[in-house]
Amino acid sequence: MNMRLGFFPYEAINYKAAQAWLDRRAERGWALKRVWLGCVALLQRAEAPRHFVDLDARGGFDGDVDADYLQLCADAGWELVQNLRGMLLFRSAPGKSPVPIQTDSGIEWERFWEKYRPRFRNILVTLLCLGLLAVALALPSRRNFTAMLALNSGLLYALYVVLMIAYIALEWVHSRWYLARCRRSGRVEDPGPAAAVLGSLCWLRVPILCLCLLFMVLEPFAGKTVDLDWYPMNEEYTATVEACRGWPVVMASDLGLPDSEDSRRLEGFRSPLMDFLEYRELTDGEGPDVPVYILTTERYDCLSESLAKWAVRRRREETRNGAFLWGELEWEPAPGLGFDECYICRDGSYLLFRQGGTVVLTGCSGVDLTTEQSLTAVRERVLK
Amino acid sequence: MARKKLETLSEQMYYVLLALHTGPMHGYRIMQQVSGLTGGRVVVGAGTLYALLGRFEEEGVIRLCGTEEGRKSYELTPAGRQVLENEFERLRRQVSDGARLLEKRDAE
Repeated sequence: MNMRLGFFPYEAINYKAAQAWLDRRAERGWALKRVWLGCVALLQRAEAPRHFVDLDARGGFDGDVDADYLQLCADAGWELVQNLRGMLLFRSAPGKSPVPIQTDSGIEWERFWEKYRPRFRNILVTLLCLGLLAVALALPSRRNFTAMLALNSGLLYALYVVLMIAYIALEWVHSRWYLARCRRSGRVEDPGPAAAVLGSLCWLRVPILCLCLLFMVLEPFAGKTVDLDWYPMNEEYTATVEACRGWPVVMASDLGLPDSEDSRRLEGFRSPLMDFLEYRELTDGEGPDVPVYILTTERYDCLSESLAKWAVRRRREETRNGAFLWGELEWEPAPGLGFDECYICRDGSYLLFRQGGTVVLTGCSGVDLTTEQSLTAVRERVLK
Repeated sequence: MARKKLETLSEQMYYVLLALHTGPMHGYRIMQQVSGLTGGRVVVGAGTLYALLGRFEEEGVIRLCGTEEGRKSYELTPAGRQVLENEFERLRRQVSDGARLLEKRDAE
């Protein structure tokens, strides 16, 4: 085999680690031919190859390199392989053993410090922005973030954000440590294996973001477990009572209310962490004296009991701030109703309970769900 | 201004200016000249030389005097000659001081 591949995730700030990586390959007779997709190094067999990684002092992005500089390097026996993320990757011309491109560690360090000193500020600004984002997310919200765990795209996005935060935080710590170390020695040092870990973390975000985008596009089709819908204007009558009855959700008829002739909707998503179902029914009885009932059921089948406990906690907080169709719900513990965990509000017309890994939030204005009859119906429908 | 900033030269700076003292030349020729002058003891890398030439030009120590086949040629300015002479004098004094003390100790 005259070719081989290697993972080359290094950022420009860690260009000495990239140099060390290439030096190790060169010792075994491998010369860099190209870096594909920003991180896949293609190496080829060569006679006593040498490499040099230099900083592109003109900019940080791939682009044109100073022609005078390149000419000087070419005269000295260096071939530019690639300009990658602000790093200039050189290898020795065939049959040549040129002098290293940088021979004055003081000048090299001055240039490095000048380029990366402002980075401290940038990283601090980024951390500040992420902090503000975290605060914004922690603020009361009316959205059902719990159900996002049932979306594969939501999970991937969360993973992406976590990775991004981890990367920025680690990079900040590493940069501080590394620049302090270089300042002490007065030269650009090899940052060691941490550079490869950071680079890998940085690159791991790319496929996750791509998968996330892919799932965002496919989720409405592929991620759904059920999508039944009916209302009078809809020509396709899919959400029949019979069709919905096959799913473990509380329906109006289960509570002794008239079947809906107005609208009915059942939707579900599934991810490796959670199976989510949401059922909504609006019963509009005939005649002016017959009340209108709005019934909603959310069901979360969680991967573990601890996740289910978290879902209960999270849904309590979310609905306390106001939920769609429900308004603000003030929950009270109801330990005597026979569930592992149970809360009620508005005189029992809203019920949030957990049984093992299953969480159910159901509510219907004007109906007491804590009566023995209603509880039996609820248990029968959602827990059997 | 130039003298203030370049009061003390590094070894590579000194030899680059010394190489240019022999006449105008382009970058790679300077590298070869430095290596030749020092018998290979001092070598200047392309990147280091590129940075030095930029800095010297900015300080008015050297100036561009022509371009041939995409290679820029430089020459020393009078200010550059002065910087070189000052450095030579400084080094000469260092050697002289060292010789006086070290030879005295050897004699004892």
